[in-house]
Amino acid sequence: MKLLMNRIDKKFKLLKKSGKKALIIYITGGDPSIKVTIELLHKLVDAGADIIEIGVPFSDPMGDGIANQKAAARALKKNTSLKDIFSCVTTFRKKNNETPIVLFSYLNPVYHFGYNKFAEKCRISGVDGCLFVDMPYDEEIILQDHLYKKNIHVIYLVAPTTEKTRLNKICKKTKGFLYAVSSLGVTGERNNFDKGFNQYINTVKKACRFPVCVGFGISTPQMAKKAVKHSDGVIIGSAVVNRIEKYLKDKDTMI
Amino acid sequence: MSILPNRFGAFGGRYVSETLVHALDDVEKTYLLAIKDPLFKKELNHLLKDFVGRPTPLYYAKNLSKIFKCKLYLKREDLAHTGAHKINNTVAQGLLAKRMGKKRIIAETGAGQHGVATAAAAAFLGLECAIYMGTEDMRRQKPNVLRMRILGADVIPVSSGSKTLKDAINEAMRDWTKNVRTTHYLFGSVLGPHPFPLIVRNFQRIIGKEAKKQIIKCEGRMPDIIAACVGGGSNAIGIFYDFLNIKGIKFIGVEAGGYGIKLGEHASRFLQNKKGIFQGTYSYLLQDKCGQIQTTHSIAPGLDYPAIGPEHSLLYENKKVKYTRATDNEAVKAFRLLSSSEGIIPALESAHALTILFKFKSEIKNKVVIINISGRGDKDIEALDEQNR
Repeated sequence: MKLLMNRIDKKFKLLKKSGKKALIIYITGGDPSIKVTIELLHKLVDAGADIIEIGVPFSDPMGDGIANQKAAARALKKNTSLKDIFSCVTTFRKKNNETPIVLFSYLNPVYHFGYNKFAEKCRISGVDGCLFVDMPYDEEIILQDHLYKKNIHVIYLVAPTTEKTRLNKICKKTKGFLYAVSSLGVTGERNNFDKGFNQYINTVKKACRFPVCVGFGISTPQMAKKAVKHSDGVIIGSAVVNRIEKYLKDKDTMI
Repeated sequence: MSILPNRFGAFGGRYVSETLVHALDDVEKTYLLAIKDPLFKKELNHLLKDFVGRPTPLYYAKNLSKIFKCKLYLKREDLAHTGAHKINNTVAQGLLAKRMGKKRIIAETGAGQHGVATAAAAAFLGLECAIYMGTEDMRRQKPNVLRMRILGADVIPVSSGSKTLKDAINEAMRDWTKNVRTTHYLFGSVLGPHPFPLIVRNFQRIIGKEAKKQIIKCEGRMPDIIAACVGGGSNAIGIFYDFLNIKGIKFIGVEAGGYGIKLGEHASRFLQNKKGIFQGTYSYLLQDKCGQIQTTHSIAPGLDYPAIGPEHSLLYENKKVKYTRATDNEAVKAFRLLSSSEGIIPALESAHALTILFKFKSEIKNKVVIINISGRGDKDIEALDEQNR
């Protein structure tokens, strides 16, 4: 069976044609509610988001900074589950069939949901990629296989601490795009990147035949500019999540 | 890629963010080189003997033996320096941190015993030290907070989630992800990502190695029963491991039964029969119907954790070890019993292991029993007194 072109690939093809870089926006699903998340998804597209990452809330987000921790806690207070996230994507897809959606999750809710069922639900609802914070490329091969069969891209991360031979192995497996962690640490706003940032991104770019996007801690337009200079896009997360928190009581302004 | 097998049967693994993979490789490599290096062995043996005070005694508990009509021996890890078995691992990993050229060590702590043991190792090795501890645990283990500070450690309160051990591990992991180039995360139990479950077990095996020699000296034979409490499971695996291939020994691991059998009222991981991926490892795990991690309860902070060490999951499935549970009240009863009958105040964690005396009365009759007293109970006196008032 010939697999259809994934929305992520289509998007990067389009961007490349027009000489643009990708703007990827992260929000936590269900923060402050699934209903608002659906509205936010459409608004983010209107505001220029090329790809959207939806965070699946987890009780113990070990790889996240305070902004995303609080967002996950708000979402869990509303009992947001994977089922809700899938229904959110399904609803979004009724009006938008172009913008790629990537799920950003920890493994345990997915393991508990069942890998096969998860992959199938991704396909049916219209998810295009998945990124697992606590899954290095060499763990949970079964999950990766299930997603591969459904043409859902697993988005792998590389970090400044990833060694050359490992980087090459990750790049070999990558589809869609590669997520380069900008600097050491968890998600969350920072003032600056680590020393040697340009060199690091250049090395990753050289190793990878797919687009490379930079995320973690991109808080200001200046940092975003620096990040895309040598890469193909940026992921903005906590900076958006913080604004959602700020306007919690004023839904209209938030959206 | 890890060099050693990173699983115990299906359990274990290395579920961390990509940023930490290199550091875990480094810990494994350093460990493998160190254990082959005579200099490391010499230094570690010297520290275990003269700093920790090993070997710890295997003590014949005469009065309890009489009461329960058995031959009860207590492995006295409570007599190790800083008051618990945790120090066996922290001096060894402290030496590894030095070899890796790290300037700083961080650790999580529940009961505070691992925190104190880490702070002590950091002090003599001249390393900077930060200990993450849930605010709920800081409240109930005040003496250990003070000890850590006196030893020069920075105790960082963690007030997220259930404010206990699992939340302290989350925060320590976040710190490590940021400072991984200069910092070693000195994991305190047989939990977390590979290679920690393996190296912590190997550094704790000394408990069983000594006990084996000691029991042969005392009894001229192997014991019938060995029991230990199981939080993450480092003291239990430490005393079990060198006896595991000997036929005819019954191993009992005692989990925290808290005050009830509903989710959230205990930390008995085998009660729910669910497995999952949490804080770097795949093991039995208390979770809700959506795979969110369940908060736990135990009077003993060192047992108050939703997952069990991956090797214990394998020992459970292979039926090599019988896992049972003791409630808060049973543990307090055992705590008082040992204190008043033998003059030994055990940690509330270790008191869980002692409950087998009255819970398995008929099974232990006429048997040679070893119970691991993993730590001393000075830390618990204040909290128990408060509870009484």
